[in-house]
Amino acid sequence: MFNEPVKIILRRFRDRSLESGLLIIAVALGIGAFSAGLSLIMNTIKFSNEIMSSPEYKELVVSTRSNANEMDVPVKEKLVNETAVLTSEDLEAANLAPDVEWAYVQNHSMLMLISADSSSNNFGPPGGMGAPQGGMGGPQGGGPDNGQAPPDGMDNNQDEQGGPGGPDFHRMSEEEIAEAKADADIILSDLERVSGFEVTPQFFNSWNIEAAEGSLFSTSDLRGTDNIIVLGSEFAKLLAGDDMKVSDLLGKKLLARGGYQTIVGILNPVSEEYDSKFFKPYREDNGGMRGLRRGFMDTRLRFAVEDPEQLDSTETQLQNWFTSQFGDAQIVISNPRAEAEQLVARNTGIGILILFLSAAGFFIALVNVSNILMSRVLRMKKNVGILMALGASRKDIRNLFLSESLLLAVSGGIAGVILAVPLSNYMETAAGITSGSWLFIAAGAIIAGVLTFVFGLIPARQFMKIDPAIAMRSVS
Amino acid sequence: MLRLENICKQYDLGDTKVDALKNISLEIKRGDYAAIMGPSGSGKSTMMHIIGILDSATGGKYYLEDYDITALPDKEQARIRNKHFGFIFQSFNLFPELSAMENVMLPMTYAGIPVKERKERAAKLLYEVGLEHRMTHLPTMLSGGEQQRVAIARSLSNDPDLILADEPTGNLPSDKGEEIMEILESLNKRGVTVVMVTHNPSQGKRAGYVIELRDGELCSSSTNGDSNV
Ligand SMILES: Nc1ncnc2c1ncn2[C@@H]1O[C@H](COP(=O)(O)OP(=O)(O)OP(=O)(O)O)[C@@H](O)[C@H]1O
Ligand SMILES: [Mg+2]
Repeated sequence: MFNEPVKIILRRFRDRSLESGLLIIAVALGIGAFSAGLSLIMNTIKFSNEIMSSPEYKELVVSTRSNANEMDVPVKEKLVNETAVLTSEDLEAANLAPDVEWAYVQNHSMLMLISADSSSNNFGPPGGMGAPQGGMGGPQGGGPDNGQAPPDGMDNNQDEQGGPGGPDFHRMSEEEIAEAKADADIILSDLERVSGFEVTPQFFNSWNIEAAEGSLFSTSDLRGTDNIIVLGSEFAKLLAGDDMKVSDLLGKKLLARGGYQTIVGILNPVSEEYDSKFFKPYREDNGGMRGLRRGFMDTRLRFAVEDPEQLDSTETQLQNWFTSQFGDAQIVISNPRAEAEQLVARNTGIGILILFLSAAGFFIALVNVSNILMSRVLRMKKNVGILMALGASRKDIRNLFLSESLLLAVSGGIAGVILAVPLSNYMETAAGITSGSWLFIAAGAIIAGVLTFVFGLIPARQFMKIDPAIAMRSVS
Repeated sequence: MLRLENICKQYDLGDTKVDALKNISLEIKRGDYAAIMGPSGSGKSTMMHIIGILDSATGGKYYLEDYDITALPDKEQARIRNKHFGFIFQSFNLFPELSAMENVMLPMTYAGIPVKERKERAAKLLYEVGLEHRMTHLPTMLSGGEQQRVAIARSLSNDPDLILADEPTGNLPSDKGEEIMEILESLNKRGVTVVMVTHNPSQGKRAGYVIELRDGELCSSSTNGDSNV
């Protein structure tokens, strides 16, 4: 399998197991550290670029002070302090900030669905299956019949819509469900609840979202009373199931606790986050619970610019407008990009430091490996003379010892990758990188393996220079 | 078979220069059995290395089969050493990592002979030197005489035209040395040219041709009667 000269090398490698083992470990540690370090910095940069190019980081978020603060401030305290209230009308601040491209509202929302099976949670819309009404969520304020609402109705961090209180709900009877099931226009889902957003139309522009089927809603829908809904692509697929085309969903009515939701559009795939969600028009006066709504979950306004460079000037312009409207210290304008940039700068800095340290460690390991290999040149000197006497050319000698370096680089490289994978996973998790690519580890290991091989070239070239006549005279 | 013309070898040690060989001219014919003799340091090994193209002369010409090989590229030199020369050394110089058989197989690797053939031929050669029962032994498990016989088998592996033996019996007791001498003589009888360095005058007498070196100079080259020159 191996020819005799290679056997000499392999058996020497085996017989000097301590030295060889240390060599492999040194190379493995060096390659492992280097490729993990490289992977960390590359993934940090890649991830930062990805998130920074998201529309989310090209906008300013305007909210009232109490709302901008921690969510865990006790509700009562908030109510007391509350004076300023933002509405979608305040989006007109955009008129004074020329760089604002899109201005919109995007609030979290939740739909409690009526399913054909889970009868215990099937609370129908008020007034039987009749006219749909606005509200849908559980009554956070706590109506007198709170006990009637299912427990998950209480979990309302995201449920921004104050729905009608308990009295209007009634448990849907088997007949009603059967009736709904029989109606081809009504969709019952197996899902109990689904989260989504209430948005104003420019949200779609800002995220560059288009309808794959049907249509998006427009400004006029904000004033209407119809319960219309647009579905994310994955959510639509889920609802359509196997036996319906996605486009068949258009015009169908999704039965939710708040009433029928007429499906008017289905979106193109956008992002993992949005594809499984629904989108409803944001309505100021939703279900007549305006006051309550204001109290808990104020509307946040978002102003998107085209070029992130314009964020600072736009912030000043918006600040001026809102101060003139609401007075000092009522409105908070936050710049998610500035915050994210700080985080990115910090992570990149740490990443570069780690790369530098790991590269330094790798280099030191390589110098040592090269040194040990060099000392073997001396010990192998006479053998090289004999090999040449027996017919090896200088090139044969070089290739023979290069194959040893290659063996070292490859075995060290494999062991290095085995070290690097958990190491970089750990570092990247710690740095909050979710979309890390393993390709960078592979690239790092290949670069490091090639470098190891190159350093192995130095002793191999040294072997090549040995003068056989002199080598023959040496003792060992 | 080979001819040296005014071969010089000078080592330049900076402040001093050592003349290991001075104007050596001689010819060795195919089938010769030549002994190189002379005191220690007289340049015998140096001459062997130059003949074996392991070293290059600093002056003069070296003709091998009438080809001037003074400045041959490395690859050609290696090929000639491999195919046409067989080296035997005083200290055997077997590879301790390889078995007797693998040591004999090694030069055939450089000749590009496939492994099966290498094995067959190595077994045959080891049989010829009387070591058929020691094939898988490592050199450390062999006596000095046995090791030198493995080395002879190795030198024969590519069927050489010329055997270069530098004091092949120098590390052996006289009876074992005698065994080696007999093997070399029988090889010569089969037509292989043998050049041997020896300190032993009786071994010199058995050679057909004696080259005397003194301080790097050729002081006499004499032909013994029984030589086939
Ligand atoms: N690399 C070298 N540098 C300088 N001088 C050298 C070198 N190699 C050999 N010499 C000198 O060349 C001369 C011839 O050496 P050589 O080894 O050929 O002698 P020798 O006849 O084989 O001796 P011995 O019988 O002890 O083996 C010696 O004087 C030696 O010191
Ligand atoms: Mg000598």
